[in-house]
Formats: sequence, C-alpha cells, structure tokens
Amino acid sequence: MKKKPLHILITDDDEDDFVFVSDLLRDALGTKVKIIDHAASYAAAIEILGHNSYDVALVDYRLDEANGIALLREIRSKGDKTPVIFLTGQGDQEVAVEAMKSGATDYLDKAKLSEDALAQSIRYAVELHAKEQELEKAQSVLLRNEKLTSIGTLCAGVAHEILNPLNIIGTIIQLERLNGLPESTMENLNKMLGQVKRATKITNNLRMFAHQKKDELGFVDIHKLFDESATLIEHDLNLDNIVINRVYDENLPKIYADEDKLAQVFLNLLNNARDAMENRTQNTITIQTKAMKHCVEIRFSDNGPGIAPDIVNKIFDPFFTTKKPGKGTGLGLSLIHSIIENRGGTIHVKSKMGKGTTFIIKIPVEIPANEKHAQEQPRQTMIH
Amino acid sequence: MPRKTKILIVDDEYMFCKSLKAFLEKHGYQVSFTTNGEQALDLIKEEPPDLMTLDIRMPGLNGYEVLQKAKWISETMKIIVISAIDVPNMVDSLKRQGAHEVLNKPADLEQLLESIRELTTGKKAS
Repeated sequence: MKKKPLHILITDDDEDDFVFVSDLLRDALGTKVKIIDHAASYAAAIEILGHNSYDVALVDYRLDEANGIALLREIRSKGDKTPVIFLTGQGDQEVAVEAMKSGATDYLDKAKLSEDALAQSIRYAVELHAKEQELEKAQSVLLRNEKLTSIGTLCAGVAHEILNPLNIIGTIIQLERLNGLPESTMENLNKMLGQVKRATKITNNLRMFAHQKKDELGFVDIHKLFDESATLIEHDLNLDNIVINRVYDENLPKIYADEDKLAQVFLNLLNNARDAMENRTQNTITIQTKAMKHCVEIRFSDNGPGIAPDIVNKIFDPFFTTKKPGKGTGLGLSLIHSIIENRGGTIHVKSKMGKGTTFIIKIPVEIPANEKHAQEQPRQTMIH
Repeated sequence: MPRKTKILIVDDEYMFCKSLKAFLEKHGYQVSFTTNGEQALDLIKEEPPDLMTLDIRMPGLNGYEVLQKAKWISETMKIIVISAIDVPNMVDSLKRQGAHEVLNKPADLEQLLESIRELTTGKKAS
C-alpha cells in the first residue's frame, strides 16, 4: 500500500452511516488515513471531487437525488479516475453487479462491514489504481515515442524534397524581379517570395524536430545559458510588456547536457509564454532554479491565461497547437519533451485558468554511466 | 576590358541551374552548368572556373566527393555550397573540406551575389 497517508471521501446522505463508516475506517487503517471527508449528497460529491483528489471514494449506492452509479458515471465522464467502492444495502446483489460493470473497483455490504473487509478493499483499490496509472503513463510514453520516430523519419525525408522545389520557385521569382516589371507585378512577386520563406521556415522547423543530431555534451552553466539566450529576445519581450523575473539558486551545479538543445528548450518556452500573453498587461515570466539532491529543478512560470484542463494532457503531443495558422507547428513542446527525456530528465506542467502556467523541468546532475567514457573524447562533428 | 568572372553551377535540379544561370548572367557573369558531379570534375579539368556553386545531395558523385576532388584540380577556384541538407550543422565540416561559403536552399540570391563578389574580388560590397 502507498506510504503516503490516504485521503478518503465518503459519500453518504445519512449522517449516522457516515460516522459509523469513518470510525470503522480509522479503526481499520489507523495512521494510514489522513483525511476523511464527507459529501452528504450527490451534488456535494460532484462539487468536492471537482476540487480535491482522493485515493478512494466510498459511495453509498442509495443517495436521495440519484443513485451511486449515476454519480460514478458523471465523475468518469469528467475524466476523474478516483477508485470508487460502493456501499450497498442488504440484498442489493443486482445493484452490486451493475456497479462493477460501470467501473466501480469493489462493493461492500454495509450490513456486514468489518474492519478487515474495509481495509482489504481499500488496499486493493489503491494498489489497482496505482498500477492502472503506471500502465497508462507507460502507454502514453510508448505511443508518443512511436509517433515521434515515424514522424521524425518522415520529416527528414520530406523536408529535403520540399526545399528543392521551394528553391526553384524562389530562384525563378528572384530572376523575374530583374525584368523591370510593372509595380503591381513586382508586389505580387514579393508576396510570392514571402510565402516561399514561410514554407521554408515551417519545413526547417519540421526538420529541426526530426533531426537526430547526436548530443554534443558538455557541462552547462544553466544561468549563463539562460541569460545569454534571454538577451536575444528580451528587447522584444519588453515591447510586449513582459518582464523576466529571475530567481536563481546560487548553488546550482552545472549539468551535463547539449547546450544548444537546452537553449532551444528555453527559447521555445519563452516564445510560448509570449504568445500566450499577447495583448495583456503586467506580464511576468519567472525563471526559478533550485539545486535538488540528485537533480536541478527549473521552474518556468508565466502569469498568462493558463491552459484549459481538457487540453493540458495533449500539449506535448506532436502537431498539437492552439496557435493561429502559420504561428506554430505544434512541435515545440514535443521537441522540448524529447530533449529533456533524452537527458534522463522530466518535464511537467501545472496550469490554472486565469492564473498562469508553470513548466517544471528536472534534469539529473550525474553523468549516466554509459556516457562517462564518451565524455573524455574530444568533440567531433560527424558527417552523415 | 576585364574578362568576365566565370561561374560553374553544379546541381542535379535542371530548372534551378537554368534560372540561376539566367540570374547570374544578368549580373554580368559568364555562367555554365551541369547536373552531374562527374561531369563537373571534367569541366573543371578542361577549364577551371573562377567560382563553382555546388549542391551536396546529388545522384552519382555527390557534392562532398566533388568538393574533395575539385581542390586537387584547381587550387584557386572558389566554392560556394548551396544545399538543402541541414546546413547549420554542416558549415564547419564543409568549410574544413574546402568550401569557402555555405548557403541554404532556398537560396537568397542577393546573399549569393554578395558572396560571389567577396570571393572573386576580395572586397566586401559597399
């Protein structure tokens, strides 16, 4: 069972039953329970589950307004995966079957409730939930990697094939411009050249994404790297009313990574924050670094509009974008994700609508064993 | 009257060669082209141009091979690589192998003209 003390919600419209079940819970689990909350109605349960997370919800099947199954369906439809254990009355066997079918983890007969049965059921629910989450995470990583590999191969090949025709179009346009054409024709040619440049930029972004360039690893001073990269666009940021606020940990160790790729991560996050905060006032981007036991933590926060909860899980997916056509390829965060993961690090996002978004990056300080040897070799650019 | 600067275009895209040739001729250069790496080396042997523009990814003898062999044939010829390969990461290695300048496709022809001027007259455009 989880070492962390459990948070449990009991949904029961009968106050006495709640007291009875929660006493039993404390007897059964002792200090393993931290919080036992009470929702006294269907609506209260929906409300409280929307704002808090629980390890387990014990739900009385018979609620005044609606039954427990309707509650279970509603919270599942909102993407809430809290394990639910039904508490049924005597002779509710059919109900119990129905409950299990609709995704409950277990059901317990209220009349026969014992410490042991309760403890066992909760232990089972928590363990199952943890396993399911692990599996889900592994599956999504697998899916993303698979998607990335096939997209990578495709992009690299396609990019070269697209750049050649673009080159011919661009050359012909530049040749035609020498012919002393009427002003309106010249204007059109310039517009065409502008579109060639646009297509080139997108193609190059695709290729950057696909690029399997070997990491050129070295010890990187993150603060120095950030400051240097920020100088490149800080002027533009100021024009957009964006202030960068640095909260640097002076004891931050250097990390072993590819400096260019880290700069790419940093600039991509800055650009996203800037796009998100467009046309707003009093914008702040806070970059906070912290030395942890085995890793460095970089928090990258903005006070922009935030990311809607229904899309927050998709933002690292390739080609997912909310930007206007021509403004984003949907590859930036996906690229960042793979850069960080390749260094054995993690990147997570926390976002609140109306408050802002924080990206939390953790990169290990130790050099992976299989790279210790490589580190002693001089840098080399390979032709491939 | 000084003789015209001779330029050889080497690129497997015929339409690119034709249009770039026309463009450079309008700027007063004497231009020939080939879409084939082996033929490029023959042409250089016959009569080395002042400058060669060179594609990298070509069927048959590719741009790298042309680059390596060409410098043994003519020491004075300048070479500008114009390629759609991922140039930013290649600049150093191409320059080590004898390229004087490396440009991306799609080619910015104003930039190309400037590079040609610099390399053939040794002067920066004002």
